[in-house]
Amino acid sequence: MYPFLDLVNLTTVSAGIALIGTAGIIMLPKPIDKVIMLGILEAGFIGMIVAAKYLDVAMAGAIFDPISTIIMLIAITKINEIREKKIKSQEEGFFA
Amino acid sequence: MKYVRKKSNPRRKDSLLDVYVWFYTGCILVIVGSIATVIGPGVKDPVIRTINTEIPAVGISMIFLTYNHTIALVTFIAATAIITLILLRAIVRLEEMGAEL
Repeated sequence: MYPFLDLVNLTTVSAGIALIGTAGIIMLPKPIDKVIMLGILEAGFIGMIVAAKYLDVAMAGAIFDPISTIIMLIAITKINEIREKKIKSQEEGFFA
Repeated sequence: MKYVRKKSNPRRKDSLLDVYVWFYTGCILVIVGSIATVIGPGVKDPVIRTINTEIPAVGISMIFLTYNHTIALVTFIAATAIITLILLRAIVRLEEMGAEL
């Protein structure tokens, strides 16, 4: 009766979320926005693993993905500090 | 009529559709992510290039998922996290030293 309602299952919704996350990572220019969109991409991927009924793999992925996100956030803040320090030292006339 | 159709092939169409959705989404992610890593917007910055590298990694994981390579999938997820750690650490270190990246 409603044939397009067959498309609403976990696999298709997860694929849509993963494609939205991919488009966001590619289009958005700032690194913080990219990290947020990477979270959406990983969410779609974990939904796809759950749709394949590999719940142990989903557990491993759910443990490793936030580690990668935290590493990226630490690196982004640190590299931002370094660049600001470089700009400030160039304005004051010192060499970095 | 509906009962007969459900009894003849209960989940066959759905499961095949699932496998094709996994495989084609993985292929799209690998190709688009690789192109975005090479010539994407703002890719002069090595941090942005490293974050773009995560897209083909997720695509390859989806292709592993299609062929039921479970142990390869777990190992690849762990290796991607460790590679991200090492690459970003190296980038921060080089930026600290003032090298031309």
